[in-house]
Amino acid sequence: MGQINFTKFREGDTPDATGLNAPYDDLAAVSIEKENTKPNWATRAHFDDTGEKANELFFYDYDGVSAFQTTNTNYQVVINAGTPSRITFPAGTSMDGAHIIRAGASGIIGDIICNTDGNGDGTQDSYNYFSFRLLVTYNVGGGNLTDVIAECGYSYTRRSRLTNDSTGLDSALWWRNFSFSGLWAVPNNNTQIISIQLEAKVGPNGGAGNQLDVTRNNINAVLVRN
Amino acid sequence: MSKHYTEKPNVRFSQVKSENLNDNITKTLGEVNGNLNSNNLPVDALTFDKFSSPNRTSLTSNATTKLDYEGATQDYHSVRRWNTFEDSNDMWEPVESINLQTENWSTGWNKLVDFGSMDYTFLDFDAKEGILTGCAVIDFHHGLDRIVYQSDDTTFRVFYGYDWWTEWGVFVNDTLVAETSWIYARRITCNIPFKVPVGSQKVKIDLRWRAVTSNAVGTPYQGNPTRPLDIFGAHIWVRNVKR
Repeated sequence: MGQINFTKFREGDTPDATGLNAPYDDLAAVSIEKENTKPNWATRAHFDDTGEKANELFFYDYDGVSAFQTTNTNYQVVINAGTPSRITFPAGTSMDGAHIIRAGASGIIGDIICNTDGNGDGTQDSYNYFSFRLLVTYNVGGGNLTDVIAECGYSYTRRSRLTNDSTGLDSALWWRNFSFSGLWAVPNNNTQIISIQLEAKVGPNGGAGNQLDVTRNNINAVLVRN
Repeated sequence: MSKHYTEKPNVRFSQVKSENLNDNITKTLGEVNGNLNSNNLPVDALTFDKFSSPNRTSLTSNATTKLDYEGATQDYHSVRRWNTFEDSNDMWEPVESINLQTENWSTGWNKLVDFGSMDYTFLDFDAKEGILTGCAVIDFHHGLDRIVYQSDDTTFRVFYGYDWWTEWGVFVNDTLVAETSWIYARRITCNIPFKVPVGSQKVKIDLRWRAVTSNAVGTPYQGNPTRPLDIFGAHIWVRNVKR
C-alpha cells in the first residue's frame, strides 16, 4: 500500500472510533513506495560512503624502467624489479555471485627481440606473436582457484599471418604500448577475491628465442557490487 | 516527513467540527501520498544494505557471450567473442579472417557484424537515463605482405604494404563516439574507451573498421594471395551510470 485513502467527515456526521482511528491506523501501516515520494528528491548526499560500497577501485602501478623479459611460451607473472605486477586485495574482500569485477591493464613494450616472425604460410602463425592476460585468484572454500579476466595479443613485427613469400624477417616494433580490459562474473556468494595479476608469454617458436620486454605497467580493478 | 503543525486544534469543551478533523489529518496524508522528499531522509542515510540486490545474466550462443548486470546505481552490459574464451583456442588463432582482396568491403566504415562469425558482436539493450561509459576491445592483425617479383633477370623479395592501415570506431546508435588513429601494419589489441550521455532508450553499440590496402603486385608464390584482416577477438562492455 502506497497511497492512503481518507473519507472526509461531513457536517452532522457522528464519527465513531473506527472512523477517527482509520487514517492513523493506515498511516502506521503504510509501506512507502515510489508514488509516495516527490520526483528528484534523492541526492548523492543521501548515500552513506562508509562501509561496503557499490564500487571499490584498486590500482597497481609500476612506473620504473626495470624490464621484465621472457622467452617463455607459458604465461609468467610480470615481475617488476623483483615485485610481481599484482593487485593483492585486503584479506576478507568478499563478493557475491551476482557481482562482477571490471579490470584492465596497460604498459609499455620495450626492446623486444625477434629472431623469426614466421614464414607466412599459416603454419607458423604463432611465431610472430606474444600475449598478455589478467588472472584473478579467488577462493570459494577449499583451495584457491584462478580464472582469466581478459587476454590480448600483439605481433613482434609488421608481417602478416599470411604472405606470398616465406622468406625474410621484418624489423621488430619497439617501444609501444599495450592496453586491454574485461569483465569477470563472480561465481559464488561469499567468493573471497585474493589477487589479480598481469601475465605474459611468447608464441611457441621452436626455441628461436623471441623475447618479450615489458617496462612500465599497471593494473586497475573495480569491484562492482551494486 | 517535513515539519507541519496542527492546523485547527480541538479545544476543551468546544465543539469538534468536521473540518478540524479533516484538515488536521489531510495535511499529514498529503505528505505521505506523494510529497515525501529529502526532508524525510537525512543525508548519509542510504547504506549499501538498503539497495536491492543486483541481477546478473550471462548467455553464450553463436560463440558469443552476452552479459547483463543490473544494479541499483549502475548497469553493465557486455558482449564478447574471443579466441581463448568462446572458441577455447590459443591466442594465436583468429576467430575470423576477412580477405581484403576477395570480400566485399568499403573504404568507409565497415560493420564488424557484417563479417562471418562476428555477426553477434554488438550490444543491444534498454539504457536508463544517465551516462554510458565503456570500452571496446579489439584484437586484430592487418600485416605486411612479403612478395616476389621479377625485373628482367632479377628476382626481388620485399615486404610490401608499409602504408596500409586500419582504423576502428565505436558507434552508439550509428553515431561515431570513439575511434583509434590509423594503425599501421601489425597485430595489436586496442582498448577504445568511450563515454556518451544517454536517455532511457534503446541503445545499440557496435564496432566498425576501415582500412587501406592494395592489390598484390607479386607472384602468388605460396598460393596465398590474400590480404587478411585477422580478428582474434572483440569485446564491448559498457557501464550505464543511472542518475
